[in-house]
Amino acid sequence: MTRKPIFRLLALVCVLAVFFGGCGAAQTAETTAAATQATETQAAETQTPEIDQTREIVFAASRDQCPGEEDAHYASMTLGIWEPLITKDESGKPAPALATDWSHNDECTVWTFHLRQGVNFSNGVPFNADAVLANFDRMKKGPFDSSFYGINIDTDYPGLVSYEKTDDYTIVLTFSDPLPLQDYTMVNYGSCIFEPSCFAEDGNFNGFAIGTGPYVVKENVLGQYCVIERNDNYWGEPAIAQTIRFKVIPDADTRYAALRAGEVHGLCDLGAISPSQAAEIDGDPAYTVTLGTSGITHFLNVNGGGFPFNDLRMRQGLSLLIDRQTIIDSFFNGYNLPAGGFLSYSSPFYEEQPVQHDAEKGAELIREVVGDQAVELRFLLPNGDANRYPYQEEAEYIQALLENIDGTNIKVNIELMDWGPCKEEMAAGNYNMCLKIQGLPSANPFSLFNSFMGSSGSTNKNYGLGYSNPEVDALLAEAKDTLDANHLAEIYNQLQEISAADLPNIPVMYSQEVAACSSDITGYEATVYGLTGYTQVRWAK
Amino acid sequence: MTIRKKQNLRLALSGGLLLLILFMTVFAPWLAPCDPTEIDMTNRLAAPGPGHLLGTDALGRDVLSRVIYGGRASLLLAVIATSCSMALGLMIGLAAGYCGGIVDGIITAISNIFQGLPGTIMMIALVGILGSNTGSIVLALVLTSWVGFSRLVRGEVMQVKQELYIEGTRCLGAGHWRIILRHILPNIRSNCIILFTTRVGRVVLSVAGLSYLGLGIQPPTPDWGEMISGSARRYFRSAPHLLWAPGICIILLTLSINQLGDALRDRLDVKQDAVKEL
Amino acid sequence: MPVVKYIVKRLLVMIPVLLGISLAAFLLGHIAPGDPVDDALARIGVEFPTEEDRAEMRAKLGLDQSLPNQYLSWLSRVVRGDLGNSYYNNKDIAKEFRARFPITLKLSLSALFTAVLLGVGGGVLMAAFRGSWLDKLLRSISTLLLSIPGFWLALFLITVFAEQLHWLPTSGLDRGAASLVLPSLALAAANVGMTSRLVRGNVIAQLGEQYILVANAKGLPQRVVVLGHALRNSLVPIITMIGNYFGGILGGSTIIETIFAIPGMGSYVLSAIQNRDYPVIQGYVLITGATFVLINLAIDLLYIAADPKIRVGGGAQ
Repeated sequence: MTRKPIFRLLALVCVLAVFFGGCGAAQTAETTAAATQATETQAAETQTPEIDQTREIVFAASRDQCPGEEDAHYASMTLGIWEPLITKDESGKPAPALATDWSHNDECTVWTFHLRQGVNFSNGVPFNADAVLANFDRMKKGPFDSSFYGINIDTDYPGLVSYEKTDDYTIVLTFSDPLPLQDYTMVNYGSCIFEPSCFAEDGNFNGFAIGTGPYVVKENVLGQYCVIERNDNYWGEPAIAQTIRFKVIPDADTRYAALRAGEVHGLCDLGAISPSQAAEIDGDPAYTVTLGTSGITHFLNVNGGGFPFNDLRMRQGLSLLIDRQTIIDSFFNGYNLPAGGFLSYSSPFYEEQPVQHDAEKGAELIREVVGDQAVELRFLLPNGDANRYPYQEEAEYIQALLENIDGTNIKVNIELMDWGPCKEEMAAGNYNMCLKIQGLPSANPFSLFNSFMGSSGSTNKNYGLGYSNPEVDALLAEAKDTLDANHLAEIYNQLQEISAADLPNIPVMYSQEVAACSSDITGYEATVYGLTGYTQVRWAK
Repeated sequence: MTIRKKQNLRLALSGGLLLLILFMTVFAPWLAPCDPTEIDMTNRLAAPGPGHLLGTDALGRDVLSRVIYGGRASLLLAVIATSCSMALGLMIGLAAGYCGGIVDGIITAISNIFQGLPGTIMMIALVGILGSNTGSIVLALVLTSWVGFSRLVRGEVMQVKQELYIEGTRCLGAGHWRIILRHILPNIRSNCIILFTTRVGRVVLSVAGLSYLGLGIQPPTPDWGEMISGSARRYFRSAPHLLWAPGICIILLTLSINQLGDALRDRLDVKQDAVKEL
Repeated sequence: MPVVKYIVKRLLVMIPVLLGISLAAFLLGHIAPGDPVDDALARIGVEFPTEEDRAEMRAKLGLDQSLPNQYLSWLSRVVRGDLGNSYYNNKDIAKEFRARFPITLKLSLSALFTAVLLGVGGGVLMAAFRGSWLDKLLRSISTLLLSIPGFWLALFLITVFAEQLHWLPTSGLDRGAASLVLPSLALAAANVGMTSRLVRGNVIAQLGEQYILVANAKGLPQRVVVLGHALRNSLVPIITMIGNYFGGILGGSTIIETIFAIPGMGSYVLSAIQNRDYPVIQGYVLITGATFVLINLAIDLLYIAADPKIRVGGGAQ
C-alpha cells in the first residue's frame, strides 16, 4: 500500500504544472516556424501580385462595433458605414469630409457649409442638403445615447436657432450666440450623416444604418459579431477587402488567445491588446504591432478637497516622485508618452508642458506636508480601466513610492472597484487617489477645461477634485465670449500652463493606441477615429 | 491491508498535507525569504533562479514569499465565513427541528427561498453592490450558505428527537437545553464537521472566483486567488512561473480539504448522501 | 391519489418560494448605497439637482411611496412581463433577457448534459474496473476537477485546445456545437467530479446486492450486469443531484460566459453589476431563481416517475 491516491494526485498536479511551464517553450518553437513561413510568403507575394481579397477578414474587439438600432450612431465611425460633414486632419484640425468647405460671418453666429456633390448613399439615394436637414430633424428628437459619443443637439450645436438650405448643396446654420470653434465641435461624431429613410419615428434606426461610407452593414448580431461589406459605389477611393467581420470578445486574454489561435486576424478598438501581450508578439514576424496617436490621457486624480492633497506641495511632490518613464517602460512596454499638462498631445490646441521627475525633491515636499504623522491614503482603481491597462501594477508602484518616503508614515490602501461605486466615493470625497483615463470628447477642448478645472465644473465636482482657482474661472469666462480662434488658443495655452503648475489632477501619460494584427493581413494601423478606418486593410497573401 | 488502515492512512495524508499548508501560512513571517510586498523595479519578471527561487512578479516582488503568505487571507476568510454560516445554520436548524410546527414551517419556507436564489450570482451581486471588503464577502458567503447547515441540522434533529432515549430523558425531567447540548449536538457533530470541511474548500474556490472579477481579496495583500487571476494573467505566456506556484497551492489546498472531508466521511461512518453539497 | 396530492402540495409550496425570491430580488436594489434619484437625474443631464428636481424625480420613479407599496407595484409590473428599463443604456430589460435567456439555457443544458454524460460514464468505468489503473486515474482526475477554480480551467482549456491544438474555437457562438464544448466542460468540471464519484460508489454498492449475485450466477456477462442492472438502480440518486447542479451551473455561467464571449444572461448581469444597473440585477435574480425552482419541480416529478417507492411514501423533502 504505497501508492496512495494523494500521491497520484500530487503527481498529476506536477504533470499539469510542467505542462503549463512547457507552454512557453512550445510556443517559441511554433513562432519560429511561423516566422520562416512569413518570410516565405513575403517572397511569394512579390511574384504573385493577385491576392484574393474576397476572403473574410476577422477582427475582435471588447465591445460591439455596431451597437445597433438604439445607438446614436449605429456603428463606430472607424467601420466606414457613415461619414461626417467634417473630419479632422493629422494635426487634429477640422478637415473636409462630406462638407467640402465652410465659412462663418464675423460674429460667428451664421455658419455656411458647402456639401460635396456627386455623392450617393450606399443604397443609391443621392446625398444633398435635404438629407442633411433631415439629419438635423432627427437630432432634435434626441439626445441619443451611444457607446461611442452620444448625440445631444444642445451640446453639439448650442443655441441653434435655425438650419436651412440655400440651394441643394449649401446649408446654413444660425446660432443665438457666437461659436468661433463650431467646426471643431462638429468633427467626426458631431456631424454624422445618415440616409433619412433609415431613421425610425423616434429618431432611432429602423434597421441597418445607411450612410455614404466605403462599407455597408451586412449582418449584425448584437453581443456576438457584425459583418460589413465593401460599398462598390463609394464616392471616394473604394476599400480593398470585400468583407470584414468584427467579433465581440470582452475578455482580454480570450481576445489575445483568439489572435494567437488564428481565429481572428486583428484586434481593434480601445485597449485592444494589453501592453504586456503586445510586447510578447512585438518583433515576431507572424504579427504586426502598430502604434498610433490616441486622445486618451491617463490621470492620477487626487482629492484636493481634503488633507493631504489640498496642499499644492503634496500634489507637486507626488508628481515629482513618480517616474513616468519607468511606469511606461515597465508596465506599458514603452508605448505611452509621459504627460506634463492637462491636454492630450493629440489635441490641436496641445502645448507641450515640461515633465519633471525629481524623487528627492518630491519626497521633500511631501515630507513638508505630512511630517511624521500617520497618514492613510485610499487609492481607488476602477475595474474597467484596471482590466484594460496595467493599473494594478502602476498603483502598487505608486503605493511603494509613497510608503517608502523616509521620515514619513504613509500607508496606501489600494481598492479595486466598479466605476459606479468608485464615482460615488469620489464625489463624496471618500478617497485620496484614483487612476482614470479621460478621452477627448471633441476637438474643441473648452468643455474639458471647464468640467475639470472650472470651480463649478461637473467633473471637478464628481471626481471630488476640489479644485478652485479664480484665474482659471476668469479665463474660462473669457474663452466663452471670445470670437477670435487665435485668442482662444492663447487662453487654452494659459490653462495648460496653469494645469501643469497647479495640478488639479496629475497627468501621468498620454496614451498611444496599440493595435495588433496577424501578418496575414496588412494595412491595419492604430489610428484615432479617422476617415481611413479599414479601407486599407487587406490580405497580404 | 484492512480497509480501516487504508482509511487511516488517507486521513493522515490529507490531514498532513493540510497541516503543512496551515503551518506554512501561519509561520509565513519566519519562512518567507523576503518581504512579500517589497517591490524592485529593476528586477521585474525574473525567472526562477538562485536569488528568487520562484522568480519575481511584474513589480519585482519575490514570488516564493508571496506564495508562502498567500494562503493567509483566503483561508482566514474561508474559516471565518464558514464558521459564521455554520453557527447561523446550527441555530436556525436547531430551532426548526426542535420546535417543529409553525416555527419549522416558516423556517423551511425561508430556506426554500434562499435555496432558490442562485448562490454565485447573489454573492457577486452583494459584494459588487456593498463594495469588496472582507465584511461584505463574509456576509455574502454566510447568506448564501447557511441553508446547507440548517437543513442538515434540522434533518438530524428531527431524527434524533424521535429516538426513544430522548423521550426517556425528557420524561426524566431534562430541560430543552440539556437535551440539545447533551444529546442532539453530539449526534450531529460528525456531519457538521464534514460539511464544514467541504464548505471551506468551496469558499476558497469561490473567493478565487471573486478575485477573477476584481472583487476578492484586494492587493497588495498576497493571495493565491488574486495571484492566479489578477494582473498575473497578462503575463502567463511570457512568465508562467507567476501562475503555477500559487495555482498548485490553491489546488493542493482544496484537494487536501476535499480528501480530508472524504476521509472523515469514511472514518466517521457517515452515509454518503447524508451530507449533500449544496 | 397520493401522487396527485403530492404534486398539488408541491405546486402550492412553490408560490411562497417564488414570492420570496421576488422579494429578495426587489430588496437587492434597495440595499445599495447611493440615491437612485440622483443617479436618474444625472442620466438626463441634471448634475446639480435642486430639492424640487429630486422630489419630482422621486415621485416619477415611485420612490415616494412606502416600501411595501413599491414592492407591490414592482411585482405587478413584473408579472406582466415588464422588468423596467436599464439604468445604464435605457434599453428594455425584458427584451434583452428574452434574447439572452435561450443562449444561457443552451449553455447550461449543454453543461448539464456534459456533467451527466462524463460523470455517469466515468463513474461506471471506474466501478467496472474497480481497483485497476484506469479506476485510479479517473478517480484522481475527478478529485482534481473538484479542486480547480473554474476560470482557471477555462483559461487552461482555451490555451490548450484552441490556441495550441486549434481543435476548438476560443470563444463566441458562431461555430455551432463546437463553440459549446469548452465552455460546457469548464462549467461542468466540478459536477463531473462529483457525479462520477457518486456513480462509482453507487454502482459498487449495487454490485454487492443480492440480485446482482443472482444475475452473475445466471451467467450474464459482466457488461450486462453493470450497465443493465447496477447502473439503472443507481441512477435515482443522481437525478436528485441534477437540480442542485443546475443552480450551480447557472451561477457559474456568469464568469464562463464572460471568458468565452457568450452573450447570455450571465455576462449581461456581470456588466450590470459593474455599472450598478439594479433593475437588470433584479431581473436576473428573479429569472434565474424562478428557472431554478421550476427545474427542481420538474426533477421532483421525474423522480416520482422514476422511483415507485416514493409514490407510496409521498414525502415532501
